[in-house]
Amino acid sequence: MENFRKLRRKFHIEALLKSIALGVSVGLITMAVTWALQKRAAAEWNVLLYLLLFAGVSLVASALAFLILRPSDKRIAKKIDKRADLQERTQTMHEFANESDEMVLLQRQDTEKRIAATQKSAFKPKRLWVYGVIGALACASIVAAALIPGKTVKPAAQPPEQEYEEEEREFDLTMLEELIREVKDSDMQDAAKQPVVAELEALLADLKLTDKAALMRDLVVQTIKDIDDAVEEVNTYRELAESINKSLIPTAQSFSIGLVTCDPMDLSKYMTKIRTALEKSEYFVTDVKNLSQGIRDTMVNSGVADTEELYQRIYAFTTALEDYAAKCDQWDDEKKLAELETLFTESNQIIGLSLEEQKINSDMRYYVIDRLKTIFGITDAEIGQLNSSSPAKLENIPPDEEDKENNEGGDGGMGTGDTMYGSNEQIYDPTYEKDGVIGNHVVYGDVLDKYSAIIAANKGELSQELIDLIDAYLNELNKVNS
Amino acid sequence: MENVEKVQKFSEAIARIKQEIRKDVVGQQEVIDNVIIAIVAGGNVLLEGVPGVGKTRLVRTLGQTLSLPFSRIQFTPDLMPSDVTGTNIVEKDDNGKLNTVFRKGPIFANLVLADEINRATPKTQSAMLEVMQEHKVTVANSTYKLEEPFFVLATENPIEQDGTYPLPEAQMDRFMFKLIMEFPKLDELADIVTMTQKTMAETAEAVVDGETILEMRALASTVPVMDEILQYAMKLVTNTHPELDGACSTAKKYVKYGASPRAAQALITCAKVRALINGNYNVSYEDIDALAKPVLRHRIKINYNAVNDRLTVDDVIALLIKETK
Repeated sequence: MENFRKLRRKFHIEALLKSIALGVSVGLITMAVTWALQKRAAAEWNVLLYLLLFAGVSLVASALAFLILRPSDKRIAKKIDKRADLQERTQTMHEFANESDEMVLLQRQDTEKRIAATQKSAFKPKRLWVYGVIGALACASIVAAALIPGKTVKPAAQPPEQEYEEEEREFDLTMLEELIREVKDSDMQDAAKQPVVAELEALLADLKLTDKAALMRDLVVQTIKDIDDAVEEVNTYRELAESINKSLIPTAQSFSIGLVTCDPMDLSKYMTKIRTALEKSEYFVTDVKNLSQGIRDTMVNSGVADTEELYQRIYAFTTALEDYAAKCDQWDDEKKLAELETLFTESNQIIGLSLEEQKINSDMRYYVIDRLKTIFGITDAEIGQLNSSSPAKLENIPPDEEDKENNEGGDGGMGTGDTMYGSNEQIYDPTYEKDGVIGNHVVYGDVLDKYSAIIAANKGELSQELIDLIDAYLNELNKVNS
Repeated sequence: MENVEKVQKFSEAIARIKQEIRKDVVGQQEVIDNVIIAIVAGGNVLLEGVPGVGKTRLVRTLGQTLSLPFSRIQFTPDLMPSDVTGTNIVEKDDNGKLNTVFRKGPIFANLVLADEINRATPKTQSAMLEVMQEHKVTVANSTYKLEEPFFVLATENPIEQDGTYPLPEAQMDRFMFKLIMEFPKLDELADIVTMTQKTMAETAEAVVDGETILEMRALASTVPVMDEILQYAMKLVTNTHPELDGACSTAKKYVKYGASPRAAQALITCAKVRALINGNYNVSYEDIDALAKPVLRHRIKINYNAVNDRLTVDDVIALLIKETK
């Protein structure tokens, strides 16, 4: 079967060459695609890596292709029969290769003769054009990858160097030094005083180092913000008031407090209302307990540490309230009133002290900010929104004393502790639901009509007290607007 | 190599046979080739054709060429089985003693022409069954073996079906081939007329003998068949059965009954002979395809769907071949 073996070798070589051609093409295409993608991503490799990729993929692809393309002896026999039109002679010869019958030997001889007699052209490789096309595609892919423009990476934009104008200093740093002394001498709580003094002293030091006016203004603006933040961190009345406000909504009804106002620091009013209700015996023991517990629960969620002074004093008040409620049934009316007087007087005093301290902190904070604005000519627009910009009323106890100081303070911006409601200002509406949370700040002008309408619709059902409260509130607001 | 000489001798014998037959029979080349194949393969042939196409002449010529004793049995409705096989008769010997002697029937020849076999009664037809299959005759508990090679060439007249008895499937299955002798072409007809104007007698000469046929038979059986071709032949026969699992769509649609295993045997045996006759030392797909119709056409029965679609049994076989490939 010599002729068959020769042809078999020929077909194997053909398969090998085709596999190599395929493998190299696949390698080239893989390399081209990788190169193109990395060009677009501006992450091109070293040339060696690409060559390694090409070599690796080509090798693997060639091996796989050879496994597929390499024909078995049976397939080779079939190929020979088909190409040389030998009518299954070669296949029969291959199948009976191990037999030695005379007829089989004769058949083998005859087949070998015919194979030898077949023209070599019959066994030329077929469908070479397919490999040509694949090779051309591979080359085209490399060219295409080379032509693809790479992504230019712009260097990260540097913030423009702020150019400060060379201007002559227009202010006197001695006024700042004086301000620092005033703060130090003030009655601010140390927790608030120290960071304010530190900020002012740092500002002074920085200002001494530069004579660029624009830079100075930036430093002052930043100091104002930092001072505002520092005092806000010490003063806890805002957080506690907001949280207590939320807790009073469900329980306020039982005390006939009625609508909750939008001021986050109307704690004094609430205490008055509670006292009034207790004096009139318009409550149940469970109501008081619920109220006290509600206040405590919301304080826990306020974010204020339970070691904080105001926190502890309000907490003590709620505990005292519960004790009163538990015992008051055993007392006569005179005793009850006396106990109430004691409870609220003491609580007001204690809570009032904390509030007073925080008021001083806040007042001093406003004073410092105003002074800085005056000394350095800083406008409200340059400062922007401060924490203390949100309306908050800090009232001292007793609550019947209304704060009659309105619209005092420097031009533009905050007065010294006054809170003014304009129709564009935000106020706290405990009924306003947003994102699943009941009680949010809204623009006052948006809710005024709504409140008026509710009042008008329910006027007959509201208690006189509540009507008086609302009228007083609205009058106050209208005063501001007019 | 001894086989080389045998093969050479084989080829020469075939060539001579064909040459001699061509002296007396015009055209019908395919029929002649297949008849030769059947004889060498050791099978029987059913010849179908209208009267006058040369069925009897072919068999006579074949008999002369093969120098084999030839007999002709004209089947008629009143033909008795004993008329075919022979019978015991009482004879007076020279001494005047009465003895029972078996008088051999016309079946006792190497080459038997069973003319218009479908005119005989089933009883008589069945008398042929044993003879055709087993090459022996049993009469009154005595069995008489027929001399090899034994070959029956039966004819059927496709017209004049009145008063005929269609051959049962069992008997049909015993014929290796069913060959159709077509009406000769115009030029062939002209040749026939020209030839027979000179003489009606067969002029073929004996070129081989029975011994040679047996040797050729033995040689042909050694021709190798590769497994794939064997499987193909088996698949072709299996595909004629619509009732089998995985039956092909053609069989399901057009075939009522499929071919028996004898068809598969006939295919392979005859394919080997055909290959050798054509000078090949192995069986090819072409051999199987060429013999499919002669082997299968009398063994499968087509249904009314085929009739409705105006398909003949040969057309259905062609579809089966296509589907098997």
